[in-house]
Amino acid sequence: MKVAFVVQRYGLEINGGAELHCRWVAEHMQKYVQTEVLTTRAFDYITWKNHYPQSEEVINGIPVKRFSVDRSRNPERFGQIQSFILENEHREEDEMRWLEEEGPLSSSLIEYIKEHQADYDYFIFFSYRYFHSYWGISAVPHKSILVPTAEHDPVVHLRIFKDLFRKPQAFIYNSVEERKMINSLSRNETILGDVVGVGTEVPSSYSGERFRRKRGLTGDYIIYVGRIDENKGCHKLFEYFLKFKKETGLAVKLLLVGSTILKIPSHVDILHPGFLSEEDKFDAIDGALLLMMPSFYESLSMVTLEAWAMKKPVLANATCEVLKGQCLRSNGGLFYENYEEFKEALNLLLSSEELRQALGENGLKYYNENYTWEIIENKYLKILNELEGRK
Amino acid sequence: MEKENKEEINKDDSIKIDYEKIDVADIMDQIKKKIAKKRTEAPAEQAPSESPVPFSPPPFPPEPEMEPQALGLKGKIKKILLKIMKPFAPAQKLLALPVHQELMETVRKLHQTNQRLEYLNARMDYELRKLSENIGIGEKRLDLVNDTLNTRLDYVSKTTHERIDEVGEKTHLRIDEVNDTVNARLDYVSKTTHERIDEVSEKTHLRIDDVNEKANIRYDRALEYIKLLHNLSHNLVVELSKLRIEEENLKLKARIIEKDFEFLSRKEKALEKEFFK
Repeated sequence: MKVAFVVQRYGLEINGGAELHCRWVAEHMQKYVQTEVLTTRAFDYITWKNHYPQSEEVINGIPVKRFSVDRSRNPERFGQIQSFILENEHREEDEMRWLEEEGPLSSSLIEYIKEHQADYDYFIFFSYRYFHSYWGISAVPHKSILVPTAEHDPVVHLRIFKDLFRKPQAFIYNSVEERKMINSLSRNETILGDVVGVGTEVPSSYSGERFRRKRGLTGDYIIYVGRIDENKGCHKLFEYFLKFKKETGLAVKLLLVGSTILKIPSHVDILHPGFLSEEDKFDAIDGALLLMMPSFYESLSMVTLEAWAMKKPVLANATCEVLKGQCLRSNGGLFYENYEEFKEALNLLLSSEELRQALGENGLKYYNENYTWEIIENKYLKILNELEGRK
Repeated sequence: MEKENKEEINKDDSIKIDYEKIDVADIMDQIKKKIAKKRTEAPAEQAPSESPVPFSPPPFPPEPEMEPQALGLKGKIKKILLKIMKPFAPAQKLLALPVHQELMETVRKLHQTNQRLEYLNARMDYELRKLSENIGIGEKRLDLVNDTLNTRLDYVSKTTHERIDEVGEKTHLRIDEVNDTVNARLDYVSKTTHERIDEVSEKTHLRIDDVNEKANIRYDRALEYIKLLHNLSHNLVVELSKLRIEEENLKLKARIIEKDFEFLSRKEKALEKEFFK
């Protein structure tokens, strides 16, 4: 069986989101099926500018075919179109124009899928909202499987996606909440699907002490890992954390790990060592009291799973239904909707080591029961086998 | 946790956690309830504190002393009688002591009861006054909340109406705009459709005329053919009738010739017979 993984970007340098999700799944599935990756030459997710050479290469044993992006994205124009369609009565043509602007606009990738569909048994598309998924699935609906990685953001309600969600042969969801949302939007319950998610790679050894020594860090800290961005709720995290510090006077610090596109407030207890290596990242999580997850929109949150895999509790934004649902299902973290809840929950977590430990253990149990690679691989294989059985 | 200098860490006993079986939903419920409780308590704390009125019961009254009776005619007689009876006073006291003591005790108790009643009365007045003040404060607070709510409701109502009007106006404008666009589009479609129908109709008529003309020619030709065929059939019938008559004649002639031939055969045999005799 030959399976193509179709994703907007692909590379070892891309270390988060659906792209990393796709790479990990593809690398784990190559044990069972012949895998190939079809992607674009883009690296920058804002402009989709061609970055990689147009050639075939092999990354961690998987052949990767890259196709040119016809036109880079103009963020300003995209913003205008998006505002228009989200705030005004509009036609389907406008949504198609939005999709073109959303990109990455690679007609050669779609042409390739159309022309070479006979060479593959299945195409697994990642991220519903991009050009490649919409037109790729439309070209080969009978062979397509969609991993939507959908969040509860307004674009999921666009009309074009209602139809798109009825086309694939199967769905691989990241969470129960994502499945419910897509089912209720498009009434596609009859299409084969399962809540799978993604596993994570936690190194066999990590040390918070090593990180403290290396960075000269003293005292307790809580950690945020991910893009430091308004979309990830970081502005609220800063606001709440500073207010919390002012009101309680606790000596806890906030450590931020990840690239930033948001101005970080200048405060002695907000630390930003910049982008860390994988080893340092896991060491930093190990040294933290808990993981902060302030994001409003998440379809799964891989870093939350990593924290649970390391027995760390989580304090998450309850506005994001997926994070709240994951905390409730795992009993591995608390959540907040406003500052009062943030203060109470954080205060409770900081004051009780026993609670942190109990939540961390629950998190690890939940991770082991649902997100080990063996479980993820088996769920993918089950879906592929079920589709094969229908032929 | 390290401590700087402000609040104590919230070692909160109000949140009960079963560490053996953590239930996040339950913890979050407790947190929400705690916050709600704090919110409701906060306004009460902000209310002006009322000065507590120190109130204690009056000291227990000393044993009442018998006040000297006012002197009048009665008093004077009483005084004289007392003087006369003074020598018998010890005997009198001896006789009347238990009754006197009991009487005095009753008087003292009655006095105490009176004082206690007065104290309770005063206490009740104070409590009633306090209750009335509290009711007044409560009413004022209710009025304040009511005013605030009314103001807020008025504001919300006003802004909602404004927004509804605004949205309504925008919607009407948009509907008009869409209506105009749809009408323009319908006019255009109608016009182009009529033009196309006319064009197709004209072409169809021309084609029908052409076909009609050709059909007429073919029809005339066919009529001619039919006439010719009719004549031919008629002639054939006549010819066939003639041939039939001729056939009958020939058959008759053949029978005559046959008879002649039989006669001649018999004649020949008779002649041969005669000849060879």
